[in-house]
Amino acid sequence: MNVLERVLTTIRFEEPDQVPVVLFPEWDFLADLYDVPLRKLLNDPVLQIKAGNKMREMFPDAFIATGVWVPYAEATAFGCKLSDPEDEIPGIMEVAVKSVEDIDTLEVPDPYQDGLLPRYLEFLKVQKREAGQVLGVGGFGPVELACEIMGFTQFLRLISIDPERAHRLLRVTTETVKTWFDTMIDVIGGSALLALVSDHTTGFLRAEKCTEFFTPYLKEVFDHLRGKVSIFLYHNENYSAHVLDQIAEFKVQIFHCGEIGDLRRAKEATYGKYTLMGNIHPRDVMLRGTPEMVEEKCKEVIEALAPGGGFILSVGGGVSRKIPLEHIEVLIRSAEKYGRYPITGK
Amino acid sequence: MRGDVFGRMVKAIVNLDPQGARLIAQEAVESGVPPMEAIKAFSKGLEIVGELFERNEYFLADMIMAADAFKEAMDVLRPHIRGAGGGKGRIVIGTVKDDVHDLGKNVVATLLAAEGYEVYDLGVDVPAEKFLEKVKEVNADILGLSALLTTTMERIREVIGKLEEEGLRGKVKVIVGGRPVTPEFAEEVGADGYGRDAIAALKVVKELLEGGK
Repeated sequence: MNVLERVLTTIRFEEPDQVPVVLFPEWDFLADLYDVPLRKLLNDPVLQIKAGNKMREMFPDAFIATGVWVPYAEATAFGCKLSDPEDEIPGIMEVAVKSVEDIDTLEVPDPYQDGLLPRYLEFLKVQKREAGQVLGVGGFGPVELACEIMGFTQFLRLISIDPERAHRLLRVTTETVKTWFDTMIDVIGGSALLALVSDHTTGFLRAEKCTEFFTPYLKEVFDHLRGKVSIFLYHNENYSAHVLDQIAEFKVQIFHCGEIGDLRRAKEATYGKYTLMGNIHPRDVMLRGTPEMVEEKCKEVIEALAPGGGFILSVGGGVSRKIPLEHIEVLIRSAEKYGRYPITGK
Repeated sequence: MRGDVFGRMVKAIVNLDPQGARLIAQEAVESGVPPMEAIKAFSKGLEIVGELFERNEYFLADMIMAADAFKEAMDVLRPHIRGAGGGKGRIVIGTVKDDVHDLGKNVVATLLAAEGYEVYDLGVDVPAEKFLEKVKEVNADILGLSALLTTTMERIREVIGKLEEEGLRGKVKVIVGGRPVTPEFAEEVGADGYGRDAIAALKVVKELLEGGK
């Protein structure tokens, strides 16, 4: 079985030959790997593709999930201004929604006109031309996008002091995300094997707030895209143990997770509903740990989450800068060593 | 009767009610409740919120509202505290260069201001030189450095190094925090304190300024 076959088997809750490994390199990691300044990489789709391919060559036994990216393109479409550091991921320096009243006049941006979205579409076209096909598309979810364009503190405050306006903003961002994914999928050929939606806001909201301000909007996005996408992946390495049941409502195949609390309880709560992908800690284990610690953690996670399928070994988040290549190798080898089916678990 | 007022003060914070906290604080002032007693009750509320946060029952959105509620109450009470507005301590705070995350840092700054410290929030993406300039300008007692990325946390080390180069390190205590920052990292870079979250940061500041000198 190749790694993609393993993934397709495990998401059906069947047992592949071994636990699949999927890795999401961060752009700073790829810049270092390809030995180019990050700013240069982020401005050049061909370099991005080449850097991703280099990682694929180095780690052929893992599925390396990377394509092209323009930082915070969705937020710039609303008018957010980004920082422009030489060798770091840019961040949002100036939000678009400066007062709650701004929400009342906010409109869904045009992907072909606004901010960096047209540039992103150009990058996707380059990827299609260079690689022959584009397997997947990705972007921020509606709640995270609301936080980005208003500022996290201000939006999280808004849901308490003016919930009606918070919903109004979320309506706009939800329509934006739906339109944006539609447009990306059109550009790559009308359908996608994979769509990744990244929204970390569960880590800031208790379960009942998620029920009102998070889950319905994410669900709407996934429901909208059904039919155009084969595999849905929800990405969120932030704390999510309190909303594992709500994530089931998205009807996604894969949840790329980080902090999910007790692993066995998480397995019980999710098995048969969606596949967990994760959750080796990127900082404490992958970056600061030892090879022995990486192996031990992989073993522990595999034993808890892999029995019966429905599990993909990954870093709980992206593979970020300075993570030793040796640790990535150990993670991949641990899937071979401890992840051969049948796995009975402990 | 007073017990009831104090109970409502605790509740206003735990219920994340800024408007309620302000009204009860006003009521307390008007009815002659000693401001320090009122502050104790509001602080107790904050302590409970911190415990709920630790247990993952409250989340960051709740912390923001609790900090707002506490600030509302303190804005009412502070003018009635004898000697207020002066010697509690001056704190310069900001997110390090190339990092534009400010969520946790904002909560810390709000809580510190609410507690009556003079807070100079430099915002995000702050170069080391700007931190040093402000520390010198206001003769800061504490410098709070926040980073949310594993890459930018190294900037904390740079800022502390620059404080040493400039001969300022002995004059200002440095506290650090942010998602990737750990107690081990704080120790490694020679920080004086580490705050896992906003409540912990507040405790560390109190210890450093009120108990540690």
